[in-house]
Amino acid sequence: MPSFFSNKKLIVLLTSLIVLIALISYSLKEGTRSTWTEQFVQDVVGGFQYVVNVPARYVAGFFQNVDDINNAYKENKRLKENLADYASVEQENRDLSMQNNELKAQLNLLKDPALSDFKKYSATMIGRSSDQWNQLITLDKGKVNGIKNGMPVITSGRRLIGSISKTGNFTSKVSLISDQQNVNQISAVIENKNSQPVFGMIEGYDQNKGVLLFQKIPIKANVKKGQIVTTSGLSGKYTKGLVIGTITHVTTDQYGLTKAAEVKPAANLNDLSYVMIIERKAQTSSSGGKGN
Amino acid sequence: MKQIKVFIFLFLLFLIQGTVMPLFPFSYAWGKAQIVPEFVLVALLMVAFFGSISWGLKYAVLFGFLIDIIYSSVLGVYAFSLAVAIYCAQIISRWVNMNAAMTMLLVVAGVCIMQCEVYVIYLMIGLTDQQPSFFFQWNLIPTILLNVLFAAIIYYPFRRYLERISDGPEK
Repeated sequence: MPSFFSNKKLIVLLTSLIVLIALISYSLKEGTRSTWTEQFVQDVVGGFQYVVNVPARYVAGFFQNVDDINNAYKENKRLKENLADYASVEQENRDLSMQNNELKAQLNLLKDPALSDFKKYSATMIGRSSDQWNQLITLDKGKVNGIKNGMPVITSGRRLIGSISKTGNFTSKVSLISDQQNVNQISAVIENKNSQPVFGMIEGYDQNKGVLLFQKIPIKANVKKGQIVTTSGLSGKYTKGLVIGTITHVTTDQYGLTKAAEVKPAANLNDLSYVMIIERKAQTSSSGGKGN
Repeated sequence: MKQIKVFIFLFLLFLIQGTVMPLFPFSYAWGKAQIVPEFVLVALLMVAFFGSISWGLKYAVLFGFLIDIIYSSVLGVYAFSLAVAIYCAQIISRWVNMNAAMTMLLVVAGVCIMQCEVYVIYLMIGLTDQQPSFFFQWNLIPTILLNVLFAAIIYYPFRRYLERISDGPEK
């Protein structure tokens, strides 16, 4: 009968524990930069992932189609209701944007990009961490396509899903907003029709409830369940007007000085396939406020 | 040459677990359940049981690092956990008679050890704040079910293949 631990095995175990701790602390400290080995492995495996992804997508697409056919009737009904409003909303939109442009031209503001202007890069998801603790997805665009660290990533309908955390040459990794490691604080805002906008910060994600934590809201602000939270364009590389989610619950924070709210993400983070990486046109001062 | 085939099979499973599985949202359809495909671990357990433990451990470290680099943000956790899980399960397997049912039980044990290790390490370094009760109820049990199902599918062909290649050099 083999003994569970001989001396030699104990030494191997201890050594590997030390190596483990060293590696963990290294990668926690290193943050978003990736070494060339990591980039190389990521790019090589990314190629294989891309190849496997194409047929898999066809098969998955078939099941998706069957599902779609099931829902088609219900969806059609709902869309028809919305369609009645469409013409008037479109007309209103056109009027407003024309008016906006005229006013901007009068003020000579046309050349400065607004906080909400951005450039889009479309990308396909080619991988996702299979455990639920790492909320990372891999995209098939990298440095050669002009992708940089920190760029926000959205899905259809301008719904925010995360930001680029690591870039290889041909692939890049997105840290989703549901990732605990995503330390990016996102400046967010609730825009009411009649009253002042309410500003706050998205600071983390509660994995047990599946909600984002929206904090540092002024205590007197009028925050209600069902309001929509968007990015304010005041922090980092996030452009203005990306939809983050809807408020589900409002409390005061633990010291009672500010309000805190729980926000349900607008995008379905479990079912992503085609996403857009955006680069905002307005210049940012994310490099420690040195520039500009 | 024979090991290359095993390697290719494992690499394919590695791709399936990260690239193909997320495309089928069935794993999220079931309420809060978090079903984690650990196909590489299941195949590696079989390599360790029916092939050789040394190759099993080598592959474990290799694929552990691959998972760390590609699918996670912290290096080393999966490499360590995979190797330990496979070593422990293999030690138990020496004391029992390996038949299909026993293999399934050991796969359950291996998946349990692996998930718990990764969970505890992630909890310690603050990468997750999942509560233990949530983990046991919604993560561990569905994960075990999926992986045992997968183990049952590959058990007969993969075992036969592994026994053939490990008998090969001796004859």
